[in-house]
Amino acid sequence: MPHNLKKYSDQQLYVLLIEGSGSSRAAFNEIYERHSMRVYTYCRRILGDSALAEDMFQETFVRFFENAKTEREMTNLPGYLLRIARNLCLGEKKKQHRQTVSFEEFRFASHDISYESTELVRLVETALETLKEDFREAYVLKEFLGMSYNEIAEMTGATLSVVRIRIFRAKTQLREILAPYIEDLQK
Amino acid sequence: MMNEEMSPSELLSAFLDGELPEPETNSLFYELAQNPELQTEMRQHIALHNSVQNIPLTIPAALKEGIFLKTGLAESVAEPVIIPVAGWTSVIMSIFKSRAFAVLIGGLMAVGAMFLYMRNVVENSPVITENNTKDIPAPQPVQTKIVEVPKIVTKIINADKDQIASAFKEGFKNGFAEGEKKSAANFSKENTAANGNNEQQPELPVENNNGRMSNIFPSETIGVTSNQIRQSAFEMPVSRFAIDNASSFGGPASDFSVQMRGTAALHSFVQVDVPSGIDPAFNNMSGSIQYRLNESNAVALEGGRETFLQRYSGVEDGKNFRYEQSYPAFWVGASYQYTFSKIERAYGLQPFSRLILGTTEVGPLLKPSIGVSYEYNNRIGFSTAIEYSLLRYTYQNQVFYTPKFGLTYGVLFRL
Repeated sequence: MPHNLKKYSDQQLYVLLIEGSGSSRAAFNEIYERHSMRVYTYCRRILGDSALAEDMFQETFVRFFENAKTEREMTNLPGYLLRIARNLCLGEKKKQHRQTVSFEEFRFASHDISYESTELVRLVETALETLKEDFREAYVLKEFLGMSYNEIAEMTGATLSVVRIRIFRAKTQLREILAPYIEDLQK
Repeated sequence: MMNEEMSPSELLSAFLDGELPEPETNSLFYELAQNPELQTEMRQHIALHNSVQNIPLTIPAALKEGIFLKTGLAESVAEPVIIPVAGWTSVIMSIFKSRAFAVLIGGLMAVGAMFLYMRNVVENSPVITENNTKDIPAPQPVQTKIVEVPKIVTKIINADKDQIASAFKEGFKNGFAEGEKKSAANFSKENTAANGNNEQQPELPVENNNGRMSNIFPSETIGVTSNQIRQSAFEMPVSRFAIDNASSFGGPASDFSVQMRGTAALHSFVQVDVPSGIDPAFNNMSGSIQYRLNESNAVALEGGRETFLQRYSGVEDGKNFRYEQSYPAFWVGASYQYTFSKIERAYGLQPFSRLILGTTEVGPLLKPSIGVSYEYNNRIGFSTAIEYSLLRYTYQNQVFYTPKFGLTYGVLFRL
């Protein structure tokens, strides 16, 4: 069993995982450690509701593990994970037809408290919820996951121009919503 | 790559995203220098970007456990605590949490229970009666007496079985004290005379003391082959064994006792509203094995599990995070207790003060307390106390504390 899987590439970890040997668990654990935050962030920011997001987050990794039994090739593991998460989250969205999340629900959901956990942070989170789904997704992928326009276009199946416009409009809407608080945000 | 029809605002957005090619960047800078509104817009974009980046997210640990359970990879994956284990405390805790330690403690408790049971059986023997308690003198220590014998004596028993049996009957009939009046030596002389043996035998100097059964047997029944006889009589005052239902239970108690305590939180100086992810058995309970040094001083080994509300902070990926959790800590430690005199006016309550020095998986623990105890009898007691607890723990080399007050209530069993 390898001692330090942190030095392994995603592809090497995936090979260890699908081999089904004693290293599978360790390989899966390392994959989780590397990419769980991105997947979790995506689920939380897209769905808003923390309980639902947590379900989708778990389901993403379970699906990934199950698919690994049949998928022998893996070129872009983080992208693959995000695609699973995206399909699950968008599918859930369609089921629920939810567009916005109330303030109260957000107050309940946001128990990850930081020094910046103030009303302003809640306002920003709520403002994100008000964005149109396409805009929000592009914005989340760019701002929270740090993906390039090209990567976003590849993931969402949109053109580069569409991605750029979605992000621009998301930013514009957020600025409009948060206009009364922009000075506070600047502080 | 970018469309030339993009507005200055779109150019600015793309620039801030790091997606604007060089030519467009130059034109944007020119526009920025000329356009104060665009400068304001840029500041707002940056403020918004920074605010969004500072929204923290922490993945609940239970999610990982759930994933590994669902995938069948759950083996030894769970990470029970977020806080890194602190140095030597982890070594101590690993000992106390080991299966061998649990077996050892269980074995000790089983032996203690057996000891208590056996002691009760022996001490409640029907031999001890109220009558002979009156005749028994004051307690005396173990006696050892060296007795000189004139010459080597080897005597074959002359008394027949019936005579010996008769002597026993007499002893039992009259009680042991009466039976002791007939010394073994005299008994021997009578028997030898009755058998027509006129040879003068040196009288064995047998101590006719209060040894209850030591002399009922004639000394000559034992072949003595030495000119010294070491005769020992273990004299224990019977009155000490008498059962006094009013004040004692099951005989005298030893200096060891077992305590079980519960703790109710009164006030924690750290307040969080995050519920504990796990609900372990026997939480907010503790136990101890105490040894009483004297009437006032006692020491004990303590252990238990108790919830501490924790708040600590650290830096991850350049961002400040604050964590809050409700942490059920398993702790072990040693204690010293000073018990004051009974307050007769207050139903015999005894005030006491106790200091526990312990350790948990995350750091050391201090628990001073003051309270009162009440002895129901010499076996069972009850206590209650106000306890201050201070848990010290570290995260990313920073030290944090959780102080709190609690109310303890417990029961004590003396072994």
